[in-house]
Amino acid sequence: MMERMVRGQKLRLAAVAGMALVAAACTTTPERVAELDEARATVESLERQPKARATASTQLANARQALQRAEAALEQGEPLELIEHEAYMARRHAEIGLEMTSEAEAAEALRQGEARRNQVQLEARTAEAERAERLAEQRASQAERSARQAVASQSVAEAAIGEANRLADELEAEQTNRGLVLTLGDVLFDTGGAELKAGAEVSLDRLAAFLNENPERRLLIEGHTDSRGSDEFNEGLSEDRADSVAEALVERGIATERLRSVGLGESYPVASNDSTAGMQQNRRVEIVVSNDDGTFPESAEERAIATRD
Amino acid sequence: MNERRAARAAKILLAFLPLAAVAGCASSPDRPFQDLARAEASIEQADQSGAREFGADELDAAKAKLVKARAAADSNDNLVASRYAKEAALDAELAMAMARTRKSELAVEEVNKGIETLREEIARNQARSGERQ
Repeated sequence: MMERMVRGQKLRLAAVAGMALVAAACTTTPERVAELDEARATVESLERQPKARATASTQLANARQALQRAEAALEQGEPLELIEHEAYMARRHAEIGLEMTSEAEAAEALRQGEARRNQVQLEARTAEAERAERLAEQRASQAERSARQAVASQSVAEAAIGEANRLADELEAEQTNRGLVLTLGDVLFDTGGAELKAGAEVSLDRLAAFLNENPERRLLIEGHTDSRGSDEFNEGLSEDRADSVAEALVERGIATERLRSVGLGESYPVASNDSTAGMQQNRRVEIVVSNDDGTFPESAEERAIATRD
Repeated sequence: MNERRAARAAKILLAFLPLAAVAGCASSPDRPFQDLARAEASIEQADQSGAREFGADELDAAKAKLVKARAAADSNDNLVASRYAKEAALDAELAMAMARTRKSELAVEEVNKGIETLREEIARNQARSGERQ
């Protein structure tokens, strides 16, 4: 019991000494505290942020309160640790507030950026669609052009056919693979002879008129016979008949160089030589009309040259 | 609590008063459970929200202060413990705020880069369709 009393007294003594120490500690507060200066500056910079009130009002209020506590503690000569703690808290609240305003700005920038990206994406898609449309238009107009060309070439072909038909009609000629061919039948010649009968004149007049109208065109005059008689005779006769047609045309004013006559003999029958009617059909003169540039279709040329050899 | 134990507790309190007073110029409060809990929660949240990457210094400071706060509380230096805990919580919250800001800024950069890429692509397409015409 005595011992406890002694210890109690000792403790009380220590406590009193401690109190004295406390008083000493509290009066050593300096006039300037670096931590407090920093806190003031940070809180001020938060206050200067226009968006602080909207985005960090709690942090701003907390910072101001802590700063006031720090200032009050300094004024009232409170211990440095308390001042520094409150100043630190004030600074941290303000720093958090500043981060929040930065974050709000970044979020706003993000929103704008996303809107812009969507806009650009839309533009890209529109541009792509326009490009595709333009491409389609190009293809369509190309198709149209080819269609028009097809129609045009068809009409050229039709015109050519029309012209050929007109010539055929005019000359009472026939369209063959050798070109336009006019046939003067056997009845226009004396039997076994090369003299043209008067009946041939209508055809020859018409032919001469045609050649005068179409100065570029030339004639290939082929003489043909039936299979009776020798080859030499037949060739001679066919040549003579072709020549007399050519001469008749020269008499009608056609230049000799526009006329070519060949005797093809019995080589190209158009009917069977077994009947009188067939033989009569084979005895004939065929007049091939050149193209309008003066050349003959290849098949006509081949026949004329082959026989000449 | 009986009278004798109360008296003893009072004596012990009296004995430690000077220590606490030196630290805070005030009477010693209870262990700052709330401050400690808030600091712990803030640090954990900061840890999980990328503060380790974007607010490493502040997060480290928060953790160091939490350790000090716990130690102070364990030795019944509760005022000091409360201050350390409060500071730790704010350090962690700052670290978190910094991480959020940095992440948003990165997202902005990403979007702007995307726009740039898109624009280049559009320009290329236009050049290509220009060639085709």
